[in-house]
Amino acid sequence: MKSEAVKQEMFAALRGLLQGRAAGVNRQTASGKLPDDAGAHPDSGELAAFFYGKAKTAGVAAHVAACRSCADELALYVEAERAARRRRPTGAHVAAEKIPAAAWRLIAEWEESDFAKPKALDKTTSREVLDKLARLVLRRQAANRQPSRHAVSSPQANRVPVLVVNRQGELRGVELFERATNRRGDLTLVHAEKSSRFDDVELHAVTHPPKLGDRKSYDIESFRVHHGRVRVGKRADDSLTADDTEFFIIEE
Amino acid sequence: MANDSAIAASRSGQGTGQSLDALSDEELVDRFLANLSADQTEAHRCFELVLARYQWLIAHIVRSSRYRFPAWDSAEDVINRAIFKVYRGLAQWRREGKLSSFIARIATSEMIDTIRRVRRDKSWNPRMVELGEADSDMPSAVERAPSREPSPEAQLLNRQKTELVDELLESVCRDWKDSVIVNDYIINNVGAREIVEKYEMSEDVVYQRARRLKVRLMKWAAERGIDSAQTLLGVGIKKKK
Repeated sequence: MKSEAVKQEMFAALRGLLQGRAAGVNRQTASGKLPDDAGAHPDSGELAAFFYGKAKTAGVAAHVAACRSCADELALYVEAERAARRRRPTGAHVAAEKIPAAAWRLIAEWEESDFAKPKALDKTTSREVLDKLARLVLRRQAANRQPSRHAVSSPQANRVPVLVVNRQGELRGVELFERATNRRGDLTLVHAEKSSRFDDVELHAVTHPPKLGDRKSYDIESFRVHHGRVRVGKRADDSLTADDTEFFIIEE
Repeated sequence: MANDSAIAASRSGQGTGQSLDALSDEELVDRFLANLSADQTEAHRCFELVLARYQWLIAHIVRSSRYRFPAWDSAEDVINRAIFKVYRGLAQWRREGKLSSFIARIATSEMIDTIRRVRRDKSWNPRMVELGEADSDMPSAVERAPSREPSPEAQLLNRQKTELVDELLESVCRDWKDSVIVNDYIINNVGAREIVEKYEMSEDVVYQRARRLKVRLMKWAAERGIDSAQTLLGVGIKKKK
């Protein structure tokens, strides 16, 4: 049974360790060696999610325990909640300051920008645009093709890269989807990160019909993503599972 | 979901500022969202009323903060951006809590983003001004301290220690209250009363959690076979079984 003195000594040592860690974090923050955008500090969204208990954030918890500035920022959420509880809205009209013109300008700029406009459904994307993008995607993939990309023995064999492009054909990124088969036997692609970013967006598959034997000919089929999944359906010729099927998503 | 009777009343010409006033926050936001594409004027009216109820909250959060804002990014600028973000973000309100809480969160996040952005400009120090403290732009002792880069071996040891401590903290801190108690009470010796005031906890909660955290810290060490201060400090940390 450890004596009380040993326990006290142990706790003091633990505390010293924590203090050393905190000193390092705070010193780096103060000197700018741990800038906010380095990903070392949780961003305000992560901090808010941590405070409101909306996210499992062991890393954030550890960081806030050591970082003075993040703990102070978290206290701002406490203060804000306290203020939010202080007065309840009533039904009567409350005389209040008008919304500043500058705020309305920000709103107007946003409403007039593309971000505010609802994305056009992909089924309204013209065939011309799809064709142009399909050709770009095929050219790009042909240039980047690696023979082992879909090798059966590779642990990534089940993963399908999907190009994300804008309407001008500029590459925005590559997202990984995983091939799966649902209970009905339908081929499904599931976003590897389970993100909802592409929900209700169309995923386009560019296939080379084998019967034509002409690499310049291709078909485009479009499918809609729901909850990070897209059912591409059963195919008798399995052309959608062929290694040279290219997938892309249009995102502005 | 939009309140159909409220919308109908408005469209029939019977809707007035008074009828909007009678709507709950949820109904008002529903009406705002329902009209965003169809009738922007109506949507803006709804938003004006939302702000009539809560603009004071945004202003309070920003202006009562002890952070200093520079002239090129004043409190007014922050308030305007927060208002814009409320406008943009109302579609994301899930009705899990009060609208006031949702708006408070947006305003606070905007304020934090601004503070961090301003802090990256090394010519401005937005540090909190303690009440009664002389407002000084002089760099602190920490900022003036010369950099002394440790040796590669020392850096490696530091990295290992850092990972160990981060693992410890992840293990013992279950929520934000644990984290701030570790930070303020355990690490920085801040008094319980100050913690109570700053984080709106009761003194009992502070002491209870501090006790539990101490137990968890000791248990973490015991699970790793760390049975003494010497072991902990690097004489021989046994691997976790």
